[in-house]
Amino acid sequence: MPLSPPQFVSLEMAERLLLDARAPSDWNLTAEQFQITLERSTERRFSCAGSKSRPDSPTIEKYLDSLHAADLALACACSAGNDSAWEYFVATFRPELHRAAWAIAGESAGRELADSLYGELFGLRESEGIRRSLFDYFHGRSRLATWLHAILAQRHVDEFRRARKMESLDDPEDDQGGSRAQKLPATLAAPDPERERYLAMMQVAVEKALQTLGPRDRLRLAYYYVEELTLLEIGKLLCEHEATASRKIERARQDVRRSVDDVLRREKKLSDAQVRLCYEYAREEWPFDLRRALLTKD
Amino acid sequence: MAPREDDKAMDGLLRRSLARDAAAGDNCPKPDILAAYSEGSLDDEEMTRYELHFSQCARCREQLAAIFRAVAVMEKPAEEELMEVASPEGAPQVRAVSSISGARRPEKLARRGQFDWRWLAPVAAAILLVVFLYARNLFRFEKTLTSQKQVAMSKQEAVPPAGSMDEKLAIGRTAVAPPAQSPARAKGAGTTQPKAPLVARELPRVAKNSPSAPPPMNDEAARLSRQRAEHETSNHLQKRPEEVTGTAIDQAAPAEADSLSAEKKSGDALPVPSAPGAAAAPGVGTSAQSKAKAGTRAAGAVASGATPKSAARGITNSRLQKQAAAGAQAGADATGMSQVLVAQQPAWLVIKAPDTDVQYRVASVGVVERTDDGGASWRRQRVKTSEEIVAGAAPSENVCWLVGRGGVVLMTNDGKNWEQIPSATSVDLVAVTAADATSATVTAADGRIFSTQNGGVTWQLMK
Repeated sequence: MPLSPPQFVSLEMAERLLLDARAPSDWNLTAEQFQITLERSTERRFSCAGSKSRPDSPTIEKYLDSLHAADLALACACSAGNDSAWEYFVATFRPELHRAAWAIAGESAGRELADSLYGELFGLRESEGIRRSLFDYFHGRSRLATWLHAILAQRHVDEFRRARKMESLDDPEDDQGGSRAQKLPATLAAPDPERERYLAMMQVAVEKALQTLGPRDRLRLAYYYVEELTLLEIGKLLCEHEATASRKIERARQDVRRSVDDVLRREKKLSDAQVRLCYEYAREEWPFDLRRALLTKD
Repeated sequence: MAPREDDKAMDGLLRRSLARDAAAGDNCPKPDILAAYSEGSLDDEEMTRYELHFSQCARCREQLAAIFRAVAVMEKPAEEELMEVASPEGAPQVRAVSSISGARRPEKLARRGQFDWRWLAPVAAAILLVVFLYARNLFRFEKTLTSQKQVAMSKQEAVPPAGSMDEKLAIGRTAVAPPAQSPARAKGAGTTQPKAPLVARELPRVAKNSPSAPPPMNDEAARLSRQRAEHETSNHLQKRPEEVTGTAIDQAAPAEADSLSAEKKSGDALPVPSAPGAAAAPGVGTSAQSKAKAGTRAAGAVASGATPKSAARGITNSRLQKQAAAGAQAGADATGMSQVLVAQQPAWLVIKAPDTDVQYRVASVGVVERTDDGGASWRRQRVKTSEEIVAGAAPSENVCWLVGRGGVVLMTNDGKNWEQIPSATSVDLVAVTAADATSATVTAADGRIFSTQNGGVTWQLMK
């Protein structure tokens, strides 16, 4: 692919970083090649930021120093088709790749997932006559292994989202017929005509309450309720202690609860009995035992 | 609805609402951003921006959760993610995965499986063990040091040479200089100077704890001890027909003179000295000889009658008489001394009641103790006196008389409560004998003897 002249990374910088990477000579990685890789990474970084002005040299240097130069050199050499680099990659990362795929997608699906990734990494695909490798999309901002995990995760999630039927997550308006009739408790002789209205009010109130939460609080709740991660895992994901995650999740829940009550009572002018009915109908409509879910998961 | 049910409802609502977050589609970051975010290598501005997206994008959250699971599996075998290749020369040594900006490094470490605090447990246990051993050794050292100090202090006291009676310390605990032979003997024999026996220090304790165990003594002290024992024994008798005073003992001296004169005269009756050690107990016997013998401990009974003897026997007798007289005199002195020695005994004056395990013990001024089990345990009793008690007599388990300085006389007739008996004199009383709660005889330091038959209401001067 024809490349524009480098704007951010000089050849000297590239040579210095290549020296730091200590790439073996049989990888045949040149400073020019490495410069191109570094340029691509820097451009992506500062172009994505939306900044219109070119960053200053210290900022660029700081960014370049934060990169995983060794992994970037390996990716660059593999992308260039160097056999030694590729052999090194396979010997080093293949076991880890399979283990990660197994952890993400399970044993059988994970093996298939990992094997399909090898072809794209090696560059079997060609675009405009140029061999394209998935390594071109690695920019050194993380370790190569983590990036590979992210690739696997993305493919698995996309595949899963395409394949699964989002029955339990359907909007109540989309599923007003049979499924709701199935969920109705058998003891109910005649459904309450106000039921739909109460459920809709509850949904609106909850979504309103969630909007008032900060991104991290919402993220915590999502990890907790949707991804069903444990507090320890959430803490690790968000770089905080498990107790901190627990405390903040509980506080967020209480905030949502207060907000929902406030909306139902003040805005919707519901009485206490009606508010209780709202909760009861919501529990019946979308039964979810988080504790059981976490226990089952463990 | 119960609060728990409300929580369930809220949980379901939250799950549903959050899961319904629409995927942002084209706005979703690429895997390199997700990877950098999971490692914490995004800067603050990027972090905030992408977290806002993640909070609203279920797809990105699902990917992040999947990345987390993969990383967690990778981190299990090893904490360090060092990519090294064990290969022949020329193989690259890839830099360790810590080459991220310093600002993110703590987050990265926190993210990377945290710090395993478990290794601290054995270290803490080892530290505790070391501290415990050190403290124990220190305690033992201090204990040893203390005992060594005690030994050193006891060594300062006199150490008689081994093998002689002088080696044993006398009652009274006065320091005695070691004999001159000791060092020489030690030098000549090459032996170390005999250790100072700990008897000196132990004696008071022995006397206190084991009143019945006599401490080792020299000859004179042994004799005095025997006298004292006999005196105590006399208290066991129900009745004692006669008391013996120092005056009776003094009668032995004229007998000696008579024996000497008789020796010169052949055919004169010579007094027959009694065998050594045959001193009669005070109050025992009815003859004048018995009277004469009263109070003595050692041999030295006074002969009261004349018997025909050969010259040799007479000489022997006279010698014996002299010895007897000397012994009697010594006994007389000893009688008084015995009483005094009683006073000089350690503070633990013990009076035994006959045929029982009951004993009374004078612990200190104003404090008397009683035991019913032979000394295994003692109960303290208060006596209203500030005078020192120097002698006592217990004719029965519940009757006990005590006498002491300033003529004080105390008596209990129920074994518990003490009353001060009006005394016959203000002179120090040095001895007492009693038959029961009403009959008692006390001996003053000046030799006078007083007796009562009505529990001390009235006293009669005996001698």
